[in-house]
Amino acid sequence: MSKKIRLLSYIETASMILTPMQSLRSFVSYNPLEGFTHLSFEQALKEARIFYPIQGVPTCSMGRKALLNKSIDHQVFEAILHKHLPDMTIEQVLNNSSCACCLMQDNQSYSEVNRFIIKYITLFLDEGQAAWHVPERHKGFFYCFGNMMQNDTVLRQKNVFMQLGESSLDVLYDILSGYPEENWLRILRYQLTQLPGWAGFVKWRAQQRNYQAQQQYPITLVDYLAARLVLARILNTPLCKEFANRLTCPVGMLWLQAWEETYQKRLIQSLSASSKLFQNKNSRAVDAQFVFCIDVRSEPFRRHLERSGNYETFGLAGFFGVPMLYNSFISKEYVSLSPALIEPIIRVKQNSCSYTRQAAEQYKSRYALLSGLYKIIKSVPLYVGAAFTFVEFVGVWLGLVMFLRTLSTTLFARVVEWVRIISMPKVCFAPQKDYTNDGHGLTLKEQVFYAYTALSMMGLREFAPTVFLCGHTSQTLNNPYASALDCGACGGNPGGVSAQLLACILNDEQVRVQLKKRDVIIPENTVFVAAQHNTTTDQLNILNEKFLSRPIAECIKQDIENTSKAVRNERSKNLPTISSPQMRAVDWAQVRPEWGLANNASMIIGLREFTYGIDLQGRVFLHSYDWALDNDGRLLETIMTGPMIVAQWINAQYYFSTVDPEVFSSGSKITHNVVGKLGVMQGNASDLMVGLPMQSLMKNYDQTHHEPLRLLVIIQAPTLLVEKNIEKNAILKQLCDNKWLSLMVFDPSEGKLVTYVPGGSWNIEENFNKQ
Amino acid sequence: MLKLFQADLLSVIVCSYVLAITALVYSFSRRYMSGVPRETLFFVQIWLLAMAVCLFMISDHFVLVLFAWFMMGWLLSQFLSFNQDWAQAHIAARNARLYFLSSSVFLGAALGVIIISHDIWQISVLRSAIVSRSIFLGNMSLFLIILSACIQSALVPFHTWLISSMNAPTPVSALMHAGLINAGGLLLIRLSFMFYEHPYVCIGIVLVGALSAFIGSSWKLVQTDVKRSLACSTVAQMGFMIMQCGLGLYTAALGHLMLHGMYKAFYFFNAGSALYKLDSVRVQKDSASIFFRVFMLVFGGLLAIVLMRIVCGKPINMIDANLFIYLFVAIAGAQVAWCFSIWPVKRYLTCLVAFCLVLFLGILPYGMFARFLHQCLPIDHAQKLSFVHIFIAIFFVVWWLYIVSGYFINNFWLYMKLVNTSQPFIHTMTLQKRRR
Repeated sequence: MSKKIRLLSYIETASMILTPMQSLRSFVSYNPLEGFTHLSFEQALKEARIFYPIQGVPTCSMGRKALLNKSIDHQVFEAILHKHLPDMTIEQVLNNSSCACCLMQDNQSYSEVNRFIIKYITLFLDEGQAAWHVPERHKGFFYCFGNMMQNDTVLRQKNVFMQLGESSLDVLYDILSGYPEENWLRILRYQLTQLPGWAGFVKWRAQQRNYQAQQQYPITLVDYLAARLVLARILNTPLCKEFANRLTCPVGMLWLQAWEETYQKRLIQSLSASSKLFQNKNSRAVDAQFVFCIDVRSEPFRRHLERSGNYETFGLAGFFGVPMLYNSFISKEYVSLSPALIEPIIRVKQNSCSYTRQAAEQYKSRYALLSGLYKIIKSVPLYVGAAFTFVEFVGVWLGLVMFLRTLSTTLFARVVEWVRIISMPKVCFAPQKDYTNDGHGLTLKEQVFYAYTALSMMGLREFAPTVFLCGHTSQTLNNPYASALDCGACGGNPGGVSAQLLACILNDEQVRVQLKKRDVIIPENTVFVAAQHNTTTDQLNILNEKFLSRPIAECIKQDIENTSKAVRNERSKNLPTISSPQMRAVDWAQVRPEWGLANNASMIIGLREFTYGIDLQGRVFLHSYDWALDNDGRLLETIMTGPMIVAQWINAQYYFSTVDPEVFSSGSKITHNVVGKLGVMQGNASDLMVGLPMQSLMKNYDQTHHEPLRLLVIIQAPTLLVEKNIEKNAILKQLCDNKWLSLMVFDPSEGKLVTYVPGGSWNIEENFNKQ
Repeated sequence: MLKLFQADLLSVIVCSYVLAITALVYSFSRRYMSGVPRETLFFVQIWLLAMAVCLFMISDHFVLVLFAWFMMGWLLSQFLSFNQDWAQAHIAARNARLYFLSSSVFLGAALGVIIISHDIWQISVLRSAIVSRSIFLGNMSLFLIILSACIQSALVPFHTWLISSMNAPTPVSALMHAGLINAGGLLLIRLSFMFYEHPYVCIGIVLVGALSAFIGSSWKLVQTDVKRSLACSTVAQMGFMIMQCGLGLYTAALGHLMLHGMYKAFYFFNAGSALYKLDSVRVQKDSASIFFRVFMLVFGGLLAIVLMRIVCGKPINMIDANLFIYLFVAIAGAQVAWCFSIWPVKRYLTCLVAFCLVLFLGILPYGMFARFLHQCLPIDHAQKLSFVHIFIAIFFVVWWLYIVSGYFINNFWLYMKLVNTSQPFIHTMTLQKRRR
């Protein structure tokens, strides 16, 4: 018995190296090597190469191109090369086309098990693509697996390893007990990393308590592993193989170092100029304040907005500090609007603003009507016999739509918009803020708590007459990776709802009274307005116009309009091919609607004056933070253990997807095949694809757009405070000490910039001089 | 003088359809394929492929026909391995190439038999010879031609190349399912004069087509990925089209291949949206009374027949195969009505009106299109109904009712049979991470 418990703990340990993979409907970035962060970066790569055929560092061709287009400084690279490989000259590196970047080819003997697993698991996990699902699916994966195997002629004859109805743990134990216990971990790890996508999805799903499909049709990693081992025994393949010894290129790590150093140097140089710009700024009282998500795409918008008028901007994680499970009226499911780090506990329902209640009812019934109609038409061809003539009924109409959509994208989008406007009443939806008896909403105490934390986190104490809270979303068509472009802090969902909720809370009289007791004084005439930043077209949609009925509103709107135009102009220079951003948003043939978070490289935590007016090229996560409000370092701790970690995950996801596209990216979109309404496979059948598609990272097949750099974090705070937090949190210490990110601190009292050196000491950066 | 080409209204219609679809695929791919290696080659190949189909439709000389047939297959299989460094794509392409090659060989053999035995080199000459009954063809060449068409149109049991073709870029799939795959039907339509006088051959074609139609649409029920699901549906639709050819309803087959082509191209283009889940509709499953549902079923079927009769204008008689068109129109109409009866609208009248409107919008363009083709192309030779036909019709109705009733869902044996018979070639699946 105790051996079985030990087996469970082995499985737990083995699955540490597996990255959870979420359903693509809300894409969440993880560090693909999260399970290795207890090791130093280089050591982790070495360890990970045992399981995955990866390089982990930029390839030589990538490095050479970067050197040529100057994103790696020639001198920096030369210095680093000289230091680490003194007998190699830069010419040698540039000309040596046959560096050891080639990886070993594993033989295909194990793929037979993979084939059966892919077949069975797609059938079981399907969330609505097939019309006919595995019978008796509610009995769990392992039961269905046994049943399916019984009906698979080849397997049935050879199956002597399990009977129907046995528990997966028993079967797993039976098979493993034929092997010495010290080999178990190796076997389990090997089995889990054979199809890391599907296994990662099972791992993620098994942990979800609120996931409807998991509640109905349970599956666990034990089930998965047991199924694999049974298949391996039946098909007579070894349970574990010697891991291939993979060669790596000695120059790889140097490319990375040089690339990071170049970026660091340039960033520090430009930061030196910022405070001068800030002093030149108009010192009139601000007209409006804007709070944006820390997302790198907010940076250009903030910069242009500040330029266009007398505005102040702030950065805060896009869920605005309120982790919630959101239930919109069109769905039964709850969507988690919070970063993956936090498990949301607050349930919030969609509601409509009071003045549009009637229209909302109408909206709901019309929606039910039209979606019902849509569903009927979708369901007819599923019926055998009816499909034949039915495709002819709809063929002409679909052909018409197809021609219009492809040949005149914008015209078609306009028609759709027009149809939507005439068929649906205009309603202003908002989350239901106040606590109701069925367990939804927030109590007053909670409201005050979240409001206070959010305001303190971004250091907002003096309020302009209008404060905009801007969530963000993207707008794309026919794109399985749409959610990868949405707000990562909202778990890969649009962030407008979170903004609405906080705005509602802050506009509440009672909350303001309570806040006053805690020394946060919001002037009577200040209003909070929720807005949503569309990152594809760079429009800022105000979600609750009613609050904006002031004389200055028109002026602000005009400035927002101008800002949008300016940001679009700036961004379209980087986009490949000539389509305009607006066209990309509505084009169903577009594989690169926007660049998303590509090219993210650093995170700056501090006051806006530290970065004011500098063109950070949309590569920086900007989090507002005022150390003066944070004596004990609590706020900084929250930022460092929350948004900073999320930023590191996003950064690592982009990094590894770029340097190892074969393993950590989902490959080219042009051969993607959406499976089970949960993810994509490549072509006929494959592992569930993890990471970002090639089109989100590359300009074309051989030019990368994303520069693979590890995250650089610059914090504007007393060094002591930062040090204290690093010592206190093992995760932070791990990340900093193991070089998963580099950390710099700008100490405002001393005016010096210091770099964290693994181990805990600080290095003063000489070439930074802040006036 | 050596006559190489012959263009008639049929070839004009098909060519303009193919060119329109190709233009669409081209326009789509300009954005979709941007930044892939060998981008220009892709666009060139798309147009070459369109030209091959057009050449096939306008050529009269056997050598040209065969050349065009061969080129279609060859170019298409090139597309399947468009991603050069993907071993599984190469295998899929190689397998498909084998199928196409054998299809070409069979067609070549059939034409060769005709050339050797009658010294006839052109389709037009062959047609006048057959129509004037100055020659009789052996069953061998008919059999080879039908075989060739079945392979090209991926009928069961030659479907695996199509199901394994998803390693190709999405626009290629769209082009393939909207255009290329129909070549089998086009071949039968062009050479229809060869066998419409042979009822046994025609019944054979009907059986082959019906088998695919039946199996393909059953496969579709269990597919979990969007592209294979579309491919299975195509197998079924191709079977239906070939079946129509066997019934002698050539214009109906032509209309079907075009309308289905647009339908399928739309869904391939739209494959990226397959993640979108509409779980929002609160379908009141048991709220509608069974009487209402059965009433809707019967009413829908009858209404569809009446509408079709008015719009299309084909007389309903009980002796020839035109009855099949009405049968399937009735099934589709009844099915739409059945689905409408669980619509989340409580009032029966609203439900009824909405259904009539939708049905009208569906049948109007379809019926008019059928009427147009029927009137300007005098190629139909509807077969007389036989017992086999009636048996097939009854079989379809029974199978359809079985599916509608929902009794099948716990049949594990059938489920796994459908899953296992619709697998792609083993070696075309990407079972391990690709290596550099």
